[in-house]
Amino acid sequence: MKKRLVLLTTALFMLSAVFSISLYPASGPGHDTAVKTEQAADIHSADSAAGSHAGAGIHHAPHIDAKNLSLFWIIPFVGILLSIALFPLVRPHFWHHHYGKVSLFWGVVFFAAFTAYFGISTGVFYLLEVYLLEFIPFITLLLALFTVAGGIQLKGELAGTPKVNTIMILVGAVLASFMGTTGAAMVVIRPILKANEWRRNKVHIVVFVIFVVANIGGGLTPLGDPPLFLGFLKGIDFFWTVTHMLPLVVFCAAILLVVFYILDSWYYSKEDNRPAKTAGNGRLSIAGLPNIILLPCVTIAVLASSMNFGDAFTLHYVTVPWASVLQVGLLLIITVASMKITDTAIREANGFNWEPIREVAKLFATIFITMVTPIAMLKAGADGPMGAIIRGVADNSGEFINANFFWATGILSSFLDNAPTYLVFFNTAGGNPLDLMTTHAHTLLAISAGAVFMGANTYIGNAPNFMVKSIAEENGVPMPSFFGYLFKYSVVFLIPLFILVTLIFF
Amino acid sequence: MANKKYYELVFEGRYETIAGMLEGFVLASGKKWEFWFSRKVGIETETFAEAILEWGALKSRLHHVILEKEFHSYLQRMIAKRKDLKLIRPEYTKSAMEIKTASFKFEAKAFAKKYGTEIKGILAKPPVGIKIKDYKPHEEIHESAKGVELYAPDHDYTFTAEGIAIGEFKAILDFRKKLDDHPLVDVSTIRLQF
Repeated sequence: MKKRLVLLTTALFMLSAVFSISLYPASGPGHDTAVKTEQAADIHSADSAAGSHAGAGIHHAPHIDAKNLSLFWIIPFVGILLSIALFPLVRPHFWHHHYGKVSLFWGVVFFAAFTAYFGISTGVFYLLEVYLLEFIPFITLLLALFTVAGGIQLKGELAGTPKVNTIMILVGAVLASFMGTTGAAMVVIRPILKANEWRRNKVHIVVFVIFVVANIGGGLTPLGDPPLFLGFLKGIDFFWTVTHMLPLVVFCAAILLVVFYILDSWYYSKEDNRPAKTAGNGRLSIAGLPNIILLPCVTIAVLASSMNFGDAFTLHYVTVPWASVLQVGLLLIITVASMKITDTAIREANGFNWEPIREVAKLFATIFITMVTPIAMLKAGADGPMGAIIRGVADNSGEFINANFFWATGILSSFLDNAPTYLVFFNTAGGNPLDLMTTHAHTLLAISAGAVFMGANTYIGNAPNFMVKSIAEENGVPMPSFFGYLFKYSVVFLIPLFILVTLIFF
Repeated sequence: MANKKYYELVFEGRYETIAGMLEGFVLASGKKWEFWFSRKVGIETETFAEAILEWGALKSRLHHVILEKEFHSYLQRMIAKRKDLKLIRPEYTKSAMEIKTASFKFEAKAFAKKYGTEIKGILAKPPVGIKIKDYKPHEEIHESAKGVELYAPDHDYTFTAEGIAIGEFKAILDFRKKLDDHPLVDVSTIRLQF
């Protein structure tokens, strides 16, 4: 039934695409939809004008005029985000089996309403723009990073002392910025759990892995965390992120690691069945060398997308550059190469399977398309339907308040997925990458840090949080409940840290 | 051993004085008597005033201590003989009640068969003198949920259990500690029946 539904929807999308392409010469000014859409002459989208890596030149493309749109248009976007946030907590079995259908539901509801209101040509244009220029590069990057990370294994008969635990979390934090927080968390969590198997008090260790490895460690590069990669796709320079985020990531990670070391030492001193010192030789080794070599290849593939090799093809106003095609191609080659060269024992040790990527693909396919209207509304500015959000992060003279951006992005990222939240505030700040990297660099920094760091505030803030929790529980760690995590750990350790970050950096 | 009787005594005074007195008494007697301060070993103390004081983090001057019957009898006899002492006086023993049974509630949750089996094993054979009441174990297996998940996390194995352990005081005290030492089992305080 599910397969049939997916097939049917795919067929509908494809048909509508073909239909609209064949009608392309007929559509245009004077067409019915022109009332609601803008056929801007020689429009390059703001993204491409500013040098987006997704970089399409979109000529005469139908754009929606969001100034007078009803807020009802954000319902599918909010619906999918709330589904992701709430179902795993309240109906985990249902969600596990039917998340794809729920996602498809919101996607179809949105697309059906969108095409009915704006016309099929506009609908197909946005569908192609979103999937060709954003979703496909996004999912192929995550696929490559996840596959490569799943082929790397940390090994060692470790003793689970405060020193060893701190070093392992530090290693995970460093890895996170190069293989993504999901990959790094997957690589690090099992060795940490194994090293601490004998310990009675180990919940805090897992919590700090979530803080540092699954979130803050990923703040350094666009490879580290999906929000930053979305920023990269929107035109933010790879090395802008590295250089600007470095002080914040180092500051937060250093403080958390010091706090962790003190806390872990205290808990360690209370353990009464410590193993003999010979139990662990303290040596940490890494298996899966070929995949370590593939990691910089992922960076190269991503950087390749910011070069100008001209346009590959245009489909219904959407021009896909060769650089984007090259990136996707290279990432797929890296994925296949990693699968071929990796010892299956390493993947088994990491508990590797394709389910996480399937989940990201199914859910983000809907998130990306349903974001079209909220982002257009934000781009409509302070007088647009979502002007209240924009006015909430700016002072009377219209100047952005960076601390507000940090906390607004952060608080929303704590409860909704941080990648779309980042894009919402990216567009709230104008959505112009050149402006955001220069004049409003601190605003972009606040948005980036808020989205990446505060994903650690709750289990639902960032996808790897749940993965780490789940693996820890299956290894006998009594992880706290949603509110237990929030009030015993986030409020105690993270919120004071973020207040400090606000005072120092924003 | 199995049928030892225990008393809950309520002493008035400072904790250090009472603990010192009891330890000194055991040392001088040459016996291997044991005693437990209720609060230290998770035994519910029942007076409302104490609960309020405890809640307000104020120190209570009343201390509930569990003693073996032989220890209790000998101690009371000795105290009654020495009415000239300043710190140890008969009137400082506010009450003494024989414990009939003791009980505590437990809850367990495990997400791996290894741990579920381990907990089931502990609960299936409780120590002599203990009965498990209202035991509700529940095991769920979802083969499709095996492996790592990101956005739709689910466990392929879930074991939950709850119940009440009831029986002789010392056996209950040891059994509660055994369960409490297991990271996946939560235990309540011990309730005494007199």
